[in-house]
Amino acid sequence: MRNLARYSRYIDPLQVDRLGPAVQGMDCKEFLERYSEYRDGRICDAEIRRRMFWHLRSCPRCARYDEVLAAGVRVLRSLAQLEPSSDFQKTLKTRLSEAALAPVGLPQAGPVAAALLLAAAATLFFLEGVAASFSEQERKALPVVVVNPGVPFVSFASGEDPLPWAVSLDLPEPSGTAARWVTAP
Amino acid sequence: MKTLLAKPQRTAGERSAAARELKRLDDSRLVAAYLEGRSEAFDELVERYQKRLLNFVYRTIGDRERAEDLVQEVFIRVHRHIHRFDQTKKFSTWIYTIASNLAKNELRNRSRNPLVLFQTIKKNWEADHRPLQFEDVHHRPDDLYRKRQLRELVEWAVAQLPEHHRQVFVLRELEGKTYEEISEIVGCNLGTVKSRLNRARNRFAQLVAPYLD
Ligand SMILES: [Zn+2]
Repeated sequence: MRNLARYSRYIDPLQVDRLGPAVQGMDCKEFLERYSEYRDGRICDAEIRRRMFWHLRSCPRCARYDEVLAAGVRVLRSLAQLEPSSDFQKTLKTRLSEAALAPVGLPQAGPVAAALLLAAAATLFFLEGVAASFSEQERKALPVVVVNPGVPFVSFASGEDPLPWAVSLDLPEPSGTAARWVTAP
Repeated sequence: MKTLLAKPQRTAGERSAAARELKRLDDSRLVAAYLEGRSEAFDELVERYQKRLLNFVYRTIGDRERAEDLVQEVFIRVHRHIHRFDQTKKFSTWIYTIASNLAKNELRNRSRNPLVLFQTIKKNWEADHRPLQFEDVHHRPDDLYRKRQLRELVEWAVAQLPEHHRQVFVLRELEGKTYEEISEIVGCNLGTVKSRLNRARNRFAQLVAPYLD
C-alpha cells in the first residue's frame, strides 16, 4: 500500500462499500475486459459506466494500469514525426507519369499473374478445342465462362490488391473488402 | 491560332490563391475538384496525407525507406482508382485502408519463411489468448532498457506488439480513428477491433510500466 498516496483518484474500498451495490460487484478481470471501451467513452450503459468509474477509484492496481497507459501514450504522441524526404513529391510525380504510361493490371500484378493469365488463356483454348468435338448436349454441360471486365480482385489471403474497393462498380464485386465497403454504415 | 486556343497562363498570384482555396476544402470536396479537372487538388491530397501515412506505415513495418516507398504506392493507387471512389464514403478511411493493406502485404512477404511464419502465428495466438492482467511491477531492472530514454522505450514497446494488435493500437492512439473506421481500415469486425485494442493496450502498459515512475 506504500504507493497508494500517488494515486490521487484512489479511495478506500470501504468507502466504495458504503456507496452500495450500484458500484460494487466489478472485479479486475471484468474491468480490464471493458477498459478500452471505457477509456474511449463507448460504454452506453450508465450502470456499467458507474461501476467502471468506482472500480477505477477503488482499485490501486487498475488505477495504476490506467495511469501507466495514459502516460505511455502521452510519451508516444510526443515523439517526433517522420518527415517525407525532400524529393518525395518529385519522385511521386515521376512514378505517376510512368504509371500513366503503363497498361493497368499486368505490370503491378507481376510475372505470376501474367503466367496465370496465360495459363487461363491456354485452358480456355484447350476447353474450346475439346468442346468443339463434343455433341451439342455435352457442350451445354460445359461451364459458361463469365469474364468480369473490372480490375481483377485478389483476396487478401493470397496477397491482396491493396485497393479497398470503395468504389461504385456497375457489377457486384466478389466477397471480401468490396462487400465491406459497400455495406458499411 | 495556337496561342488563342492555349489555356491562359495563370500568374503566380492566381496560382497561390487557388492553392489557398484548395487548402480550405475538405477531403471530399478536394476529390470532387480533382474529378472536375483541377489536377492541383490531387497535389493537395498528397500534401495532406503524405506525412500521416508515412508515420502510420512506418509504425506498422518499422522501415523508414520502405515506408516512404509504400506511401508513394498508396498515392499511385489512389490516382489510378480515384474516379471509382465512392464519394459517400470517407476519403481518409479509404486511403488508410490502401496503406494498411500494402503494409500488411509487405509484412507478409517478409515472413514467407515457414519458420518465421510459424513464429508469427504462434506469437499472434499467444497475444490473443493471454489473460488480461496488469501486474504493478515497481522494480526497475538494471538492464539496457533502464538506461533508455522514455521515448525509445515507448517506441520499443509499440514494436513489440504483434502486427495485428499494433495496427489497431496505432490507428486509435496515434491516428485518432474511431472503432468503426479501424474496422474498415483493418478489415475486421468491431468485436475484433475492441478485443485487439484492449489487448494491445494491456501489453503496451505491461511493457512500459516498470520504467514509468
Ligand atoms: Zn482492479
